Amino acid sequence: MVVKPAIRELMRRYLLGDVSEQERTELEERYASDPHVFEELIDAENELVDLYLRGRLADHERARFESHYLNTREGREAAAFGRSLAGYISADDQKPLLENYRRSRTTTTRKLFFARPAFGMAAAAAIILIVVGAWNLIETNRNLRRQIQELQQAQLSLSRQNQDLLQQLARTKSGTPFSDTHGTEPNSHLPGENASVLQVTLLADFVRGGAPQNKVKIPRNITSVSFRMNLKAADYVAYDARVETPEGAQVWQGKGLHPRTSSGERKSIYIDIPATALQDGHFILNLSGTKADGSTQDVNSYSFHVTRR
Amino acid sequence: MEYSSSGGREKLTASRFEGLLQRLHPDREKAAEKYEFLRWQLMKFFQWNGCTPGEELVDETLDRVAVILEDRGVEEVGSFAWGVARNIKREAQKRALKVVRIPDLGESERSHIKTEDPNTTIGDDIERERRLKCLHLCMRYMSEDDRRAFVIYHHECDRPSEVRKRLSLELGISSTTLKVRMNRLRRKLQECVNKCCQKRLAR
Repeated sequence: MVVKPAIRELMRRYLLGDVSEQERTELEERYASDPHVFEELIDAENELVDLYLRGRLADHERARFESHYLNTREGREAAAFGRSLAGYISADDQKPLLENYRRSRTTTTRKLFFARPAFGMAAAAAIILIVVGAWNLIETNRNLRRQIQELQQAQLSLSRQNQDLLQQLARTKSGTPFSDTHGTEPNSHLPGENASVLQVTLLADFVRGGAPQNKVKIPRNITSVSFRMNLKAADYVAYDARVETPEGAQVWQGKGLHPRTSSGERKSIYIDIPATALQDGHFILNLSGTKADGSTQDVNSYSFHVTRR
Repeated sequence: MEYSSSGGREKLTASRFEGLLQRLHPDREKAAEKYEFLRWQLMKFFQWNGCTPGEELVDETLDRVAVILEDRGVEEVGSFAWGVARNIKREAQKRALKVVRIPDLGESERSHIKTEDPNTTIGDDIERERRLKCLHLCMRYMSEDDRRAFVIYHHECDRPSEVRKRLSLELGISSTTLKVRMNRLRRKLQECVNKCCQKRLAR
């Protein structure tokens, strides 16, 4: 039990008869019901007696001690006993014991380890715990460093892949029929190492018989070319497409094609032509539409130049 | 101010004492411990209130409690005993107001400070010598370990709290436990010395 200095001071005043009636009653009720408070009061009394006998009380306390504490037979007996005790302890007989104790104080810690197994074991357990804890921290730190290195390597690898892809994209762009100035849309399929379909958007000819403005570069791994033709309006129930050389030789033909919505509200016609059908040279794609009454009309023509790589 | 107890009261019979012990605790050994502790507390209570002789007032308190316990159902004997003690204290204080006390000791015996007192009588010296001899004798009843701890605990030094803390560590007990143990040893030692002195005085 740790007693506050204020309580200890109250106890001292109580023993010297220097308390109010209320303070006296409260303290008496406390030590009557709590043995720890009583033991503390006994300690305060012994301390008071020893301090008095050593001449270490303040003047007013010494006066109160003599007028109040020594006023009972029990108080005088306690003081007489304290005086004998002080004589006994300060006698030459006890000097070796106290000297030994003073010397042993420097080795108390060592003694605690070796003379008291429980303390030693507890200390050893604490050391083991600290060592194990430190080892765990080092291991955790090492694992985290390893994970960071792995992540950095993975990031590097992804970065390289990204660069490769960008390079491939650049290469592919250079192979598309339209340069940026033509306002073409990007290809939906990037022809990489394993790519097989090349998507190309064709612009309609402004001048019939003019030089083809659509240039199609077909890489070797391409097996099929998907052409897209955007429509101003989907006025026909079906469309026919015919690809031929400038000399009029048919290369490919598709019938009964239906427009599909590409981006937004725009309708487009899609045709897939085997790459083998398109060798180096000029080609013309004619798109015609079939009305509901069965009549057909030319819709647009698209000339393009193919280069195989 | 010193107060004295009254005379005529109902004596504590063996059966009443047994009844009191029984009410303190069903186990006789524990009851005896409780009785001793209560008696010590009451002794100190009367002493610290300047009521003397404390031993007689304690006897009176416990006698009254034992008598009342015969007739009345009391829930908590300890608390009840404290109530009775407070009444006896008030009675003793009232009686003391009517008594003109003759100091039973001279001024020289009242002061115990280690100063050269020219008025010290030969009787005082003999009494002190007797006490010291009895103390040496009573210390022999202590175990070697207790004696060592007791001397270290009580020796005069600059930092007693530090010494006591180290001692408690060395003994593997808390400072509070050490304090209680040393104060109880001191009490037993004082009782032993008092009895020894009385015996020697009676020879």
